[in-house]
Amino acid sequence: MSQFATFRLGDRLFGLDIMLIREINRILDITPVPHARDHIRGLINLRGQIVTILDLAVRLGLPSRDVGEESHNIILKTTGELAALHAAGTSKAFATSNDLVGFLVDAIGDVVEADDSAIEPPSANVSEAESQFLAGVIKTDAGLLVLLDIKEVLSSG
Amino acid sequence: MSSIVDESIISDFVAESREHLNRIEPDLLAMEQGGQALSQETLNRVFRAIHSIKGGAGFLAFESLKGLSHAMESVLMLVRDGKLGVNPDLMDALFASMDRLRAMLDDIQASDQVPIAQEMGRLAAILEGQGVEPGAQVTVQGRAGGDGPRAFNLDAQEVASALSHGMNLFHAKAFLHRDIKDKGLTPLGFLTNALSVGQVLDAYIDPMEIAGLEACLEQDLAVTLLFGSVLEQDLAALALKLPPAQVSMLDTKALRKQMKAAPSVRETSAPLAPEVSAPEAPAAPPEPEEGTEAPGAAAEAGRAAKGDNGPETLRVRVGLLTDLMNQAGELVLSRNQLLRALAERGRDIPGLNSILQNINQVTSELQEGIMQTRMQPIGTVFNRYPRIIRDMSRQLGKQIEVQIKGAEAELDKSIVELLVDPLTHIIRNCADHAIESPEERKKARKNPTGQILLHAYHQGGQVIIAIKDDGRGIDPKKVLAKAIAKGLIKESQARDMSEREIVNLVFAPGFSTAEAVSDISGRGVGMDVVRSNTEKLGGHVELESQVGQGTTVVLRLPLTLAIIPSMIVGVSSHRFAIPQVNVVEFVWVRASEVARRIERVHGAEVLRLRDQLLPLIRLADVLGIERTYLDPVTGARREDRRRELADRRAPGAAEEGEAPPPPEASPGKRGRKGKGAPPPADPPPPVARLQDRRTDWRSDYNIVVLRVGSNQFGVVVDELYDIEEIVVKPLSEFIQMCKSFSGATIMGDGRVIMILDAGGLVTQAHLHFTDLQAEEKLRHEEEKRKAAVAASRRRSVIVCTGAPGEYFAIPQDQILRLEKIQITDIQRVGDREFVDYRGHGLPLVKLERVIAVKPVSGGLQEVFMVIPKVIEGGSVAQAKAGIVISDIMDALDVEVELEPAKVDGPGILGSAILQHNLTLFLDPIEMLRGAGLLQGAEA
Repeated sequence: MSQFATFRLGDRLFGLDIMLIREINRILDITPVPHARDHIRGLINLRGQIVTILDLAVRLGLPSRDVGEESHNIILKTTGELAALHAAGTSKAFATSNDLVGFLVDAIGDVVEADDSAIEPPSANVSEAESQFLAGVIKTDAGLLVLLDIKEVLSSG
Repeated sequence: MSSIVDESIISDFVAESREHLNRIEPDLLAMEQGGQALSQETLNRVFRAIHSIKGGAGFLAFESLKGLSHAMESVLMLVRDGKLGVNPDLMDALFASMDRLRAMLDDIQASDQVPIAQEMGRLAAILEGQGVEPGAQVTVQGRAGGDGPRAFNLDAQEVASALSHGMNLFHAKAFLHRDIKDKGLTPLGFLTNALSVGQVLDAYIDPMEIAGLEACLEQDLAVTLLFGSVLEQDLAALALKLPPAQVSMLDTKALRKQMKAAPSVRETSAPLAPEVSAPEAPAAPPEPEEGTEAPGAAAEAGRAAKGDNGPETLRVRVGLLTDLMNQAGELVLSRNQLLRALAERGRDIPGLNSILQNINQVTSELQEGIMQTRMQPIGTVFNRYPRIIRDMSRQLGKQIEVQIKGAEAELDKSIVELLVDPLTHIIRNCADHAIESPEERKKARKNPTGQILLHAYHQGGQVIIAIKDDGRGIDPKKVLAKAIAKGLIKESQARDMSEREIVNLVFAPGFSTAEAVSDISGRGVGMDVVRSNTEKLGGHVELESQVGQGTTVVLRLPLTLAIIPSMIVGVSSHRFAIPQVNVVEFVWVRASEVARRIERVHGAEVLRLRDQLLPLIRLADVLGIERTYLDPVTGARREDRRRELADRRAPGAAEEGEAPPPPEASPGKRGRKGKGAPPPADPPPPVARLQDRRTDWRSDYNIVVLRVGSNQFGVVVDELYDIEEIVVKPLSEFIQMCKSFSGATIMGDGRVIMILDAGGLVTQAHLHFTDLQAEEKLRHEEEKRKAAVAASRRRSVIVCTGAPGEYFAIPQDQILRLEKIQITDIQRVGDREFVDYRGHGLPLVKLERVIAVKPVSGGLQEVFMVIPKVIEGGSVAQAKAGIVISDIMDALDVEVELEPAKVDGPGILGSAILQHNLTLFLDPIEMLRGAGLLQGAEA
């Protein structure tokens, strides 16, 4: 049984294993980085630490999002933190990045619990560009929850 | 025994002792160099440091540590009391013992296993040489009234020294909980306090006094202190913060008498047989005895209390500092929110503004202070090398001096720590291989004492550490041969390599071997290790060497985490930090001067700054930020449509493309951040307003001149803010490829801003300095040419007269001689006149014969003859004729524009007004030629 934090980009619902998440905040004073790749939204100051914020929508091939009332950053745990959790037996083995990184999303949704067996492979109708980042889908009452392949999302490719 | 004591006490003791040792190392070196003329203060400092280590070690029952520090103390006491002079053997023994102390501190629980027999032997030999019997003990009687023991055995020398300083001896008992912990002290703090008012002769916790575990729980563990102080008993108790009943004075009367009779230390101790140590016989009541008065007690105590110099320090976990730093950042953010939220209310609530101001300032200072805590001066690493080099040079029989510059340059703690290994490696190499023996150096006409300079400084957004020696240097030929032999490079590659590249091959992995060292006669052992270690720090190492002159190894360390002063600049709504080390100066070009100061070379804009041409880049363009300006009418930010700074002359034409496009086509307009569609192309604003703007102060140009290596360039920015100290944070892996930046930082207001990398900007903007250098050279040559032309107008002339009222000027450099001749000496042959000059008849030319001027007056007795200079066969020679003038007026340096003369004739250059007289400028050679008197000679 896993728990997934859900969030929205436009009208689509995405999910991320809750163990990956360090915190969710609304530090939306994001400093852009000239010449960075298009999906790099910029940098924020997270209580004295600098966090790189990705524009997840752009990464997934969607139009860039404007910051709105509901916008949030989802900050991920670092690979080191996850390895420590895994070693302590409280988490599955995950890897993100050695640096602090987060996503800008349109809105935060509920936490959804799902059995691993409920995860289905992504349906064939997602675009090629997008399928690269998808780990699977879960059917929920609120609709189709798309699970992200975090490693792929963070890869530099 | 130590198991009774709290672990934290032991770790405190170790840390404190290490600090003591570090602090006195320079003092010991000073002792060695200072010889006899040693300051008492230095000695006292060393003595006290060793003394407190001994005290703590005794207290914590680290016998071996106590024994060695005790022996050191005894030797130091002799030096301090002037009974022993400083000599190299003594210093060797002290240094060696100090290293042993360090080794013991490194693993304190196993400190008794560290072999110290050799050091003890050396110290004992020194003591015996001075007639001091090491380890000699005296017995001191307790006094009545206290519950202290009857007698103690103490080190004879120590007691003698204490007594000779007019001290009383006390026995004090402090209970670990009641007297120490409950009063908020630590046992070490208690000891330190005791040391500040006197001398601790012995200190221990005696577990024998505790009958069993039960008793232990009830009874409270007692610390026994044997203590010498100039204070009286009641004052001593007060100073020790103990109840008077727990402090008792020992009987020193007998000892004092013996001391008076026999001042020598040995004799004092001799009659007293060693006994069993006091704590084992605590039962009998002390005998009644009167104490002896000690003079000058208060003054002495005061001096001792303030004795220790150097700022006090406290050990803090680095993790805690990092947390504090982050929390301070958070506090800053909250403060800003508070200020914003309350900004409106300032008038409603009396006094609110000053409170806010206070919070504002305190918060900033707090954050700054916390940021500084992680920084350490590089001196903490540098300062260990004089000692290492001292030891090495003694071993190697060399003379080496170490100089340290920039020890105060601060680096992040983690970098400082990681620097130790590579630096040690380089410096050992310097001493071992680079610096020659004194004989060799004399032969090479060098100072027999070799120099090693350690120099740290900030440059180009990096911390540079240069290790420079004046040793034998590295021979590139040998390095090359070695590298080829080892297959590190191919011979074909070698041909294209500069000497500098070749010597840097010593950093190649696999280059260095033990045998390579002697071959290359420089450095080279394990330099690849140095390189890999430096690179692990994100740094870079390079080497420069000149055979026979020396070698400089330069470590460039990243400014990651280093605090560096930076200039904060603004472009549009963005701010950036430029490390101040890159900033050469700031140039402000008024809107009205833009056309004159900024020009175009090879299609790129340049700033003319004094005699230099600096390439200009607009930060907004290089970074792809939309250029904006504040509309002078509405005050709103608008897109700046000008492409080039110099375009203000042609407001209409600029847009059409007479000007080439800017170096980077504004990628900011891609709208990639999704801030809506690209801004629509506005219709060009009315020309009138544009012109307004272009002479308005808002159109002044702020140019920051930056330096990268030897090149300089100007960066145009919109705003210049303050210089601020910033903490550099590294770029995450997601943005590392952005070469324009070297990191990011968090500003006081909590915002993240990027730190510009000057070198990266050059690459990004495709600046080519060579083109400009060529242009600059061209201009310099042009200037030189012009200067030459100007100089050619400058001439030194002899001003002379012919007929009265007629003035002539003849260039001095065309005159060989001026001779006075008597009219009577002039001979006539037919139409011609001659004068006898050095045995030859020299033909004379009269001006009126050649040019249309009046004849020189016939009434003169003597006239002058100008003999022009001619070149014959490449050398200067005398013309074969002279020109007659009537008088010489002046020799002048003039710069005149010659006008065509009204007078005709050969050799007239022109005329000008000199000193209010119309003067004819003559070319004497041409004149002679015109008179037909110049044959076979070139002008």
